[in-house]
Parts: sequence; structure tokens; C-alpha cells
Amino acid sequence: MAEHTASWAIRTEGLTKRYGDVLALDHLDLRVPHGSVFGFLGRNGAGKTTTLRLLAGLAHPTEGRAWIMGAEATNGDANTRRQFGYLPQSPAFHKWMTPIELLDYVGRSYGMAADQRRRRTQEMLALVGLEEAAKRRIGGFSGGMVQRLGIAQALIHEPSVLLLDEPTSALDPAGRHEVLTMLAGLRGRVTVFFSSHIIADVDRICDTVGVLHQGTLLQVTPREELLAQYAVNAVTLTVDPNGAERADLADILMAQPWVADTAWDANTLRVTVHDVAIAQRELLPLLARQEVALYRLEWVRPSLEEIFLEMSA
Amino acid sequence: MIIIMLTITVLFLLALPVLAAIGLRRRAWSSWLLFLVGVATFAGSQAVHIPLNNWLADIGLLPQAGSFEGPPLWRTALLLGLTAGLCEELARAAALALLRRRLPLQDALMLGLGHGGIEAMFIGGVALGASMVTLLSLRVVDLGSLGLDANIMAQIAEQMINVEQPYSTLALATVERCIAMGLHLTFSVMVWRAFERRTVGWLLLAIAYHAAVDMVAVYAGQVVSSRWLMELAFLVVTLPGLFWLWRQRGDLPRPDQARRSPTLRDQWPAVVASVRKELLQIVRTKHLLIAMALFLFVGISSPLLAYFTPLIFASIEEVKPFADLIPEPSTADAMVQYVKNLTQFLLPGVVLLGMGAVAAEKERGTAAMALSKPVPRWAFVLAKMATQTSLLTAGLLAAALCAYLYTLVLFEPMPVGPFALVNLLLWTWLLVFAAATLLGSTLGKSAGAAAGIAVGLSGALLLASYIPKIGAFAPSGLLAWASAIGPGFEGVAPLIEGMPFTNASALGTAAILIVLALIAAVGALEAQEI
Repeated sequence: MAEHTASWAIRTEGLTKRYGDVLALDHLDLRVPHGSVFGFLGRNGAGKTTTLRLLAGLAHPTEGRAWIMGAEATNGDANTRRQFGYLPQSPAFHKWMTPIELLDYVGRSYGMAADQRRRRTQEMLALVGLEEAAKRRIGGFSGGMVQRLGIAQALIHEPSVLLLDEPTSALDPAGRHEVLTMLAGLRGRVTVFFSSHIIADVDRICDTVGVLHQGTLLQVTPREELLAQYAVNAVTLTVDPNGAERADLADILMAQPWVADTAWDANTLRVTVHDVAIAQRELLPLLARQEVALYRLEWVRPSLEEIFLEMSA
Repeated sequence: MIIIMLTITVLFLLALPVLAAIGLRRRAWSSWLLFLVGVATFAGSQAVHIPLNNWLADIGLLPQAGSFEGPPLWRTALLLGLTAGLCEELARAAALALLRRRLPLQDALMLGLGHGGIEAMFIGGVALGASMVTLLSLRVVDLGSLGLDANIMAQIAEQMINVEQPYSTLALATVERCIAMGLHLTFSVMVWRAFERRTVGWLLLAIAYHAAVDMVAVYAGQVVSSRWLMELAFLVVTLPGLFWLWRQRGDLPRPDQARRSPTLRDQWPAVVASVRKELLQIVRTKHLLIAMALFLFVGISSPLLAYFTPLIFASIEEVKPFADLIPEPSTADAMVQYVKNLTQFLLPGVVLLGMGAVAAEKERGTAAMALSKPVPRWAFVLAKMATQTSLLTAGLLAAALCAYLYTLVLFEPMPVGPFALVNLLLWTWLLVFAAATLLGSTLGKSAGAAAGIAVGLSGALLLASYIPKIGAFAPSGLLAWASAIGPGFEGVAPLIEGMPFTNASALGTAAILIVLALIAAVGALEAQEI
């Protein structure tokens, strides 16, 4: 089983969690490839935090099992926790500690040698921009600083897998940008399993997306595949508003057998087609023949947000 | 030398069940809570077993306790075996039925370890230790001068053989308890088989086998004069059961597939990190300072109060005519005051300092941060207990030193040996409450709830001393012992004139309570969601 599960960074099999009558997670079967940045999308209460707590060994599954880097995560074995770094939704630290003391304590928990702890502590403080506050009490930190410290403690032992529960929710736009850039930079080296309801964040850095709704996993797909899957047969053309050809462009397009519909919105024409492949081959030559002053041509794709809302409706 | 060997034996018998359980968890994981279920089955079975035997004695089917006169020996042995088998195996069956889930073999073994373990702790550890201490104390007494009844003298003389041959007594007791624990594992697995195979035959077999073993033990105890032969008879009747138990090992999960506790070596860095963090925490949160101030206050104020209280009374106008009646304060008064102050001031202190240890961390979320690292939950709990113990040790040493120096200045010097023993007893007494508070803190979901549970548990421990017959075993017995030590102390009267008062049973029970509280705390935290 270990060999089988080791081919995935994270694997769950029938992972289920009930709280009394409430089914928080329903037979989650999940496979997260090594080195990917996996976005775990879901509305509030979908079961994202429950999944992460089960993976981190903080909650016990009602049924099912989970493995991280081939080691079982749901059996309470403390050694499995060496494989991952974990950042909960609301990280909490001892207020009397300083970031240096905290990172040293966490490093000791992972059995890191003294020189390695010192080096990694400095690296992590630099990474999350807390060098200036390294010797200040955590009790005086803002929410954003605590969140950044949380990311530092999750990464200090150079884990293979990073479990992040809403890592950007407490950050300001600049902090969010920095954290997302940092997470994107881990791609290929660390598997980032990242839960969020901020779709823009997932859209920006994730290469694979899982959508969880009411405890049930609806879909796991590479992000590009998901967007393509939900693509609509439409193209938008932005043309010169003063161009003479603008007046009869819609009629010319409607005369083509592969065009289904057209609609103007200011100087942008939305063209719905019957067959995308033919349209992609025929459209540009047609526009060239008509000598249309084309500013912009874009095939319409729904946003991840639209797809998510449609899936979890 | 005897005292050292006795201490080692008692500590071994107290530790053996826990070490065996740790060993089992290394082979195949099982919850510590099942160990406690085993403890409960032992306690529950004895709650029925002892009154049942007393009733059978009252109606003449069994001889009166401590005697084998009257009914034929074979019938006595049979009845004693049957009552033991029925009460203990039915208690085990009731526990398995109440658990309402299909348990693996390792859980049945853990339950057996709890049941046999607590028996080994009490019979092997506490009772053996206490009786040996009493017999050793009797050696300083001239028994002939006491005018005791001939029967009692004969019984004492028989018991004194144990003191004259201490090594064989201790070795035999250890071997016997090890075999008995193995037997309890066998009985436990037999009862488990009844549930696993849904057949009552295994339960009946467990009862019958338990009855047979106990019957042989009782019979051999009366007809065989050599204690070695007696233990041999016990071993012979036990061996088939132990052999059967060995053959059941195939039902344990395969080593490569079993969930197992990691080795201590693997977990050691996290354990050290946890203890270091806790020690740093008591310094940085000023807990150490507060505790030391409290201990120093008690240490300094006790001799001062003993010295000045009579003077203050004598200076009161209305009391002046009776000033001659107020006794001259002495070293003994200082020690009495020391014991009183320590118990009155430090018990609430221990509860207040420890009640948030785990609960507050769960409430704030820092426990989740720690436990998502390779920190085993047992280490999380034991690091807190180690810190509390360090705090109490350092505080008590400081208090004792201050009390000693102030007494030296104000009175005669305290005798060092007895004063050290007083402090050792008080230290153990405080540790019982520290462990109970830690258990309360683990069970509570918030610091407030933990405080309530801790106060409740502490109250129950204090009230336990008022329970007839078993009250003397309660931790408060340590205070009675501490109060009886020293020159001129108004303590508990000794059983026999000239023999020093001791209460090794209370000391042993306190050690067991500490161990059980910690096991319960670890078991509860392992079962909890953080």
C-alpha cells in the first residue's frame, strides 16, 4: 500500500468525517501529484478545513485513510508529520515567544541540528519579511505578521508537502501578492495543497484544482483543462469604432454557416459559433478579406469563479 | 540493602504494567483508554467480589477472612476460585459489551494489561511494600513485651520469615505478579474471543480456567509448605493458558502493516523540545516566579508563625492571666506549622498553576500548532507534568531550606532525616494533585471547564480519606505520616507502642494515582480532536 500511495504526494481513500449527524466530508478520494500547486476550492463549510485537519492528524476520520508521501497520515503516527508543514486557518503562537524562539522550537521538534536551525530560521525570516521583527514578542504582531510567521514555521524543515488552510485570508493585497509569489516559486520542489475560497488566488498560482461542495469532491482537474472544459463557443472582436466596415460586419458573419449568433456591445462584437475548429480556421481570413481594423480578438473562456459558482450552485 | 531491594521491587511492579503496555503499543497500537477500562474492570469486579465473599463467609460457605478453619479446604478453594472467575470475567465481558465495537486483539491485550496491571500495582507494589515496611518496623519492637494473643504472635512470627528472607520473598512476589499478569492477558483474550466469534463458550472457558487457577493457588497455599513449590504449582496450572495465548499472536496485525508507536529514539528530539519549551514558558510567563514566591513565603513564615504566635497571644490583655499555660514554642511546632502551611497554601496554588496547562493551549490554538509537528501527544502531556514536577521540586527545596534555616535560628535544628522524609511525603502529595489537575486540564475543552474538573478531582481526592476502610490509602494518609514524623509531633498513634508510624500504602497509592492520572490524560488527549 505504501508503495502504491507513494506515487502521489497526497492520497486519500474514502476519507469521511461525521460530526454527529453532520457529514462534513463524504468519502473523499483524492490524488495530488508531486510538485503540484493544488488549489482546494470550496464555499465556507464545504469541508476544506476538515480535510486539512484530517491530513494533519489533528482530527480522526470516521472512515477512510489518507497518506502523505506514502506514509499514513490518519493513524496518529507522529513521524508522518515530518513529511509536511501545516498552516491552520487561524495560526496561534505563544505570545511570550519571539519569532526566533518559535522557529527554533519548531526546528527542535523536527530534530533539526543547531546550525541547520539557525540557518533555516534566518532564511525563513527573510522569506516572510520578518527579519526586523525577529526579536519582538509575537503577542504584539498584526494578523498578517502572524500569518507570515505561520508560513515560515510550516516551511522551516523543508517539507515535501505544504498544507495551507486559507493562507492569504488575513493578508493585505501586498502581503497576498508576496505570499502567492512565494508559493508559486515552490512549484516542482514542494507539493502545495492550498485551500481557499478566494478564487483569484487559486486561479493565479494553482496548476490543479479540486472543487469540494458540501463534503463531496465534485472534480479534480488540471486548471487549464478545467477552463477548456467549461469554454463557451464564442469569440469577441474589438474593432475600430470609426471603421466603415463596422456597420455590416455582423451581417457578413451571420451569413457564414459556422456562425450561430452575433451581438454588439459598444465596439465589441461577440460572435457565437457552431463549430470552434472551423471558426478558428475561417474567422481571421474572413476579417482580413473585409479589411476590418481589428483591435483585439479573444476566444471567450469562463473565469474559474464562474465555473466554481456553476459547479457549486 | 533490604530497603533498596524493596524499593526497586516495588518500583518495578508499579512500572511493569505500564512498560508492558508501551511494549504492546510498539508492536501494535492500542489506546491507553483501554488500559483504564481494564483498571475499571478490576475495580468493578472487586466491588462485587469482596462483598460476595464476605456474604458467603457470613452464611458459612466460606471461612471468615484470614482463616481457613471451618469448611473443607477443597470447597473453600473451589468457591474462592469460582467467585473470582465469575466476578472478574463477567466484568471484562461487560466492558467489552459496553464498548460496542469490534476490537482487535491488541485492544483485548491492553484491557488485560490494565486489569492485571492494577492488580500487580496494588497487590505486588502497594501491599507488598506496605507489609514489608510494617514488618521491618516491627523488628525494632520487643514483641514478647506486648502481651499479644498467641495466635497473633504466631501470625506475626510467620510473617517475619518474609523479612528474614527478603530476597526470596521479593523475587517470588515479582515472579508471581508477572505470571498473574500473563494470566490476565489470557483471560482477557478468551473473553474477547467470545465476542469475536459470538460464542459464549469462550466466556465460560475463561471463568472455568480462572476458577481452576485460583483454586489451585488457594489449595497449594494451604497444603504446600515451601513457597517455591507453591509458586511452581501456580506456574504449572498457568502454563497451558500462557501457551494458548502465545498461539494467538497470529491475530495481531503483521508488523509491516500494523499501526505502531514510533521508537523513543525517533521521538526524543520532539520530547526534549517540548520539555524545553515548557520550562522556558514557566520562566517567561512568570509562573516560576509566582510559585517560588509562594513556596518561599511558606518556608519562611512557618517557623516565624510558630515562634511569634504564642508571643502575640501572650501580649493580648485578656489572655495575659493564662500566659503561663501557653507552651513554649519548639522545633516540632515549626515543623507542624510548615506541614499545615504547605498543604493550605500550595494545594490551591498547584491547581491554579496547572489548570490551564493543556486546556488553555487547546483553546488558544497553540496545541494544534504543536501537535501538527512530530510531537507525540504523550510527550505533550508528560512535558507539562515534568515541568510541574520541576516547579514543585525547586519550590519545595527552597521552602525547606528557608524553613530549616529559620528554625535553626529561632529554635533547635530540625533533624535532617525526618525533615527530608516530611518533604518527600509532601512533594508526593502535591504531585498527586498536580497530576489530577493535569488530567482535568486535558479533559476540559476550555480553561474554565478544566478548572472545574481539576477542583472536582482534587476535592474527590481529599474526601477519599473519609471513606471507611480505604480512606487510609488515600493521599491524605501521606499528610498523617508527615505529621507523625519528628520530635513531639501530634500525629497518628502507632499500631504498636514503640513502632514508628508509617503509611507506605498511602505512598504507593499516591504513586499509582499519579501514573493512572497521566495515563488517563494521555489517553484522553490521543482520543481528542484538536
